[in-house]
Parts: sequence; C-alpha cells; structure tokens
Amino acid sequence: MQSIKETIHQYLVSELAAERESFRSDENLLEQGVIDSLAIVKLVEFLEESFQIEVDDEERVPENFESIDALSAFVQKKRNN
Amino acid sequence: MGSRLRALSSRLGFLLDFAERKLLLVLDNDFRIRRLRARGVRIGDDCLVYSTDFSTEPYLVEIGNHVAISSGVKFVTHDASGWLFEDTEPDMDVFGTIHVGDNVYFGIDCIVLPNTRIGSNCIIGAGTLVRGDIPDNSVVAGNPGRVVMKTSLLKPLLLNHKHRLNTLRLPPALKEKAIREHFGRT
Repeated sequence: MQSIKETIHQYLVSELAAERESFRSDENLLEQGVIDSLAIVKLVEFLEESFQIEVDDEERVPENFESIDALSAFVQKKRNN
Repeated sequence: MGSRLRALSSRLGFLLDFAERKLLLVLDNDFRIRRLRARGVRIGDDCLVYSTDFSTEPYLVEIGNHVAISSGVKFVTHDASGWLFEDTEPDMDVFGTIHVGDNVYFGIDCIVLPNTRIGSNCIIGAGTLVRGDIPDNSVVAGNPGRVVMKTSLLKPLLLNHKHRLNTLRLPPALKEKAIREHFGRT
C-alpha cells in the first residue's frame, strides 16, 4: 500500500509532469515556480478526496503546503484527529 | 402629460448617469474616485478603481484604503427579485450594504452581492461571486465565492512565479520589450 508521501509525490508529478519529473520530499514547493494558485486548489481537492479529510480555510497556509514532508505530516495529523 | 414628462426625465437621468459612468472609465483614476465619492461611495486613500458600477445606491458601499478594483467589477446593493411578487407587494424593495477592508484586490468581473463584508488583505479572484463575510487574509474564488487559501499561501506563489517580472513601474515601451523578451515574442 502506498504511503501518504508516495501518493502525494505521484500526484504532484502527474499534475506537473511538464515542469518536473520528481520532487525531493523536503524541497520547498512554493519556491520552485511550478505551482500556481489553481494547482493549490486542485491539490486541496485531491487531498480531501484521497485521504478523506477536510482542509479548513485556516489550514491553507504555507506551513502545510511548503513541501511533500509538510503535506504528509498535515494529512497524518488530520487523520489522527 | 405630467407623468410622461416624469418618465422622460427619469429616462434622461438614467442616460446621463450611464454616459457619465462610461466616460469616467477613460479618465484619470483620481478624477474617477472623486466623482464616485460625489455619488456617495466611501473610498479610502491610495485606491485604484477601474469600475464605475456601484449600483443604484452607491452610498451603501464603503471601500477601505489601498484597494484595487479591476474593470468589470460590480457592486450590487439591492435585490430586485421581488419583481416576481409585484402583484401582491408592489412597493417591496430589498437592500444591503457592502463593506471592504484595507489592502484588497478585486480581479476582473467580480460581482459583490448585498450584505457582504470583505476583510482586509484579501484577494478576490476574477469572476468571483462574493457574498457574506470574508475573513481577513483570504483568497476567494469561484461562484459562489469560497475561501480557497489564506493570502499568506498565495504570496510565495506570486513571488516565485516562473513568469514574474519586475516591470510594473517601467515605461510602456520598456515594459513591452521586457515581456516580449521573456516570452520569446520579439
């Protein structure tokens, strides 16, 4: 079974295939210039659907989206609550 | 005769209002804001306003400081759907206020409905239908408008956008040259 990190990485690569073939898990996604606001909206939809979580407005902040590690930790925390 | 004159006067008033609002769009921003204030809209300092569509009750609209309003943005201060019930409620009119905080950006063709309060440091995406209470530091998009992220998340995306250029204050010819070079359209 795929880990949360792997699932997120696979999604990002499939969505941003024209830009990048892979990402390091600790790489700052917001500083790479490959993700725009629409990509964030679609990413939130993906996270909610794939992991059965709800991302509140107040949680849509850089700290939760800046890397695959951060996204993964955020999803894990939501699932544990 | 009296009612015909009144109808004609009303139509003429509407035409003059329409003509002025269209003319204002091609004039200087400062002059446009002065005229909008004269019509009753409360507008703060350091604003850029490229719309003149502040509804038939502009005095119900309040805009804070450092607000940018793109073309096509419409502020609506009344709900005229009571039209359906005119037979039993011929005098019914429904209104609402609009309040916008400081440091807000409206993308093109947004519609802001009555009884809307937008906080400070917000971005309203193009074409958004805005209603209700929007908290500070929100990016809103869609129809109906929803908070899609906090402004703090959009900032690094803009700063690091692959097509970001520092051309905002360049003279037009230099700006066009820089843009064309960046996109390979020389």
